[in-house]
Amino acid sequence: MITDTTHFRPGIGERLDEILARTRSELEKGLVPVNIFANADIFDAEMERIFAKSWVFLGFESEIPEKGDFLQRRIGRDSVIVTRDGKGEIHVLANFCRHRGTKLCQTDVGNQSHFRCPYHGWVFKNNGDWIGAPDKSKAYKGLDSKDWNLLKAPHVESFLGMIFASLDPDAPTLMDYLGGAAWFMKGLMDLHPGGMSPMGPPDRYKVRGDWKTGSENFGGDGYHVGVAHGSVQTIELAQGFDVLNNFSTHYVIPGGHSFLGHDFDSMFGPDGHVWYYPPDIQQHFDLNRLDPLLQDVVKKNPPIVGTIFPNLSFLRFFGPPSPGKPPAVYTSWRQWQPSGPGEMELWSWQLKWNFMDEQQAADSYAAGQFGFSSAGIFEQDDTVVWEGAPEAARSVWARKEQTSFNMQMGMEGMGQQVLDHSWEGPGEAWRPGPGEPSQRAFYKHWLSQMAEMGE
Amino acid sequence: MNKISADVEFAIRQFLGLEAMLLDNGRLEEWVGLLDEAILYEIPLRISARKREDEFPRGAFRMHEDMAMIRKRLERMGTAENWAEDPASRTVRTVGSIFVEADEGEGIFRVHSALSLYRQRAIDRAYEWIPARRIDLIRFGDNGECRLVRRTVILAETILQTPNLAIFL
Repeated sequence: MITDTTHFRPGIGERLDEILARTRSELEKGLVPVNIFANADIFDAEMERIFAKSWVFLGFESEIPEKGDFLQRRIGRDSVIVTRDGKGEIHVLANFCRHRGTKLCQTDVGNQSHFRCPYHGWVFKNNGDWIGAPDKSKAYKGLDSKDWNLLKAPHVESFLGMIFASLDPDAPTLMDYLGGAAWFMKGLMDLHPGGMSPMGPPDRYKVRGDWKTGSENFGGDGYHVGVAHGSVQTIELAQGFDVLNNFSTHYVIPGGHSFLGHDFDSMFGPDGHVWYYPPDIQQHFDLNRLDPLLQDVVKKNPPIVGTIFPNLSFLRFFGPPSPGKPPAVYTSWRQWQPSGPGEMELWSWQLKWNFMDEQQAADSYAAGQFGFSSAGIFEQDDTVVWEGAPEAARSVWARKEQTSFNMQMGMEGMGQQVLDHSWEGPGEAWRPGPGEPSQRAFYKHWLSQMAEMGE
Repeated sequence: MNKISADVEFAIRQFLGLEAMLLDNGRLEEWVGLLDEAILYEIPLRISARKREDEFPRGAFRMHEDMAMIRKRLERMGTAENWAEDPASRTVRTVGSIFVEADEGEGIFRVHSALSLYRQRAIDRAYEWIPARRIDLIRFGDNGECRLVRRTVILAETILQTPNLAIFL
């Protein structure tokens, strides 16, 4: 985590509102100013206006199955404790003692009915309630304990076993926040009543890229695959990169969410149905759990990546668990955790269907890990190409020239992509690729959140 | 447990030194030649937990690779599209605290070592340091040559500070 932010102060004459105003006018043209990728003022405003306001993903219910289980997680840069209390309810608590701010929880996981501060010994229940302190009758006879509970997220909700919280007392419900994205998430996660759960804790690694770049890339960047990940096709562990964009659909959902579908049948033949899941997995699916249109999407145009605003994305693709073995389909939910201006930690969970036997789960894990992990043969190249934007943002020259990055792909006059007016699902469907409607929509929503409280 | 002979210990120390030299000099094909065909190269995920035995959740890895996967990685490194290592990192690894713990039978020895790996990528910028312990199974063959049968890398970090593991540890 960066503590010294002096390198990231805006240049002379640059003010937050000016950058945002320029972003607004540039976005109209499909452009994004470099300034927003490594600027301390932008970063601080993101923490306040986006991460302290949005519904932020925290983990999976199955990571804290028992009463007393807890996780240490993040909302933006804030450390929070996600607990399951004695009644089985889930709480999201600020991870510091109300007395003097000492961190209460130093581990990633654990099981405790209460948290005792190691400094002076204030004690809090795992629902956040203040329940005591040493020498209470001599020291705090008059203390109104309810004023000294841990800070508790006002809204905590789960959907498909995924825990989200919002720190905004006026937040909409999670379902209203997700809107049409919830429909696509059901298509991904609700093909079987047993659902999905992570196979272990997240793989975590520091990337010197901006969190927005991860969100925007997984929101619908099919265009980078053939170049950034070209090696994977060259060594014959994946195919179809050259035609990928001709078979893609960008589903753009209000609220900054997006999904990138692909016509697997056209790309990979009739076995491409439903993400190329092999018959021994597909036989368990009950597509009737989904409405007819969603069934159609899952069969013919399943999304392989997507982003839930602000910093949660998923990936579902296939590859061999080891070269030469038949392909397995893998699913990863991943979070772009902002750690400082132009820096993030990538957290990635790999999921299994709960009906899977041990071998099926292990194959899926191995295939996913080989592709997308701190050592993944796809992912390692992303971690390097994403280092560029923050470095450009720190460039005096780039800022002096009022440089913007290009997100015009697929706009009118640029290419073959058009809005599909026959689309009856949520949001908009733009087809075919290549195009960047998801990226433009992501930054437009980002701007709307940044500007709303800032003017 | 049989006593570890000086010959075995010397051969293992030489083997680990040779391996480190080959890896730092990018002589990966020769390094793969030091691996047993049944190699398992694994890096378990580590978390912060109160009890040491809870730091390594079962079945969770950053890498868990057989020979076919390792060979594929080398093939990938040989393409012109290996952006994570373009150019290859400059690494200097120190392998120390070598401890030949046990004779596991059939000429296989359990060997502990500490790895301190300096990695500098691309241009002269912030360097990266990857500290780890390794638990190896090394076969000491009848011909006096060693082969790596299994490597378990125990990273000191729970959140990896280098952006990728595009290098072997």
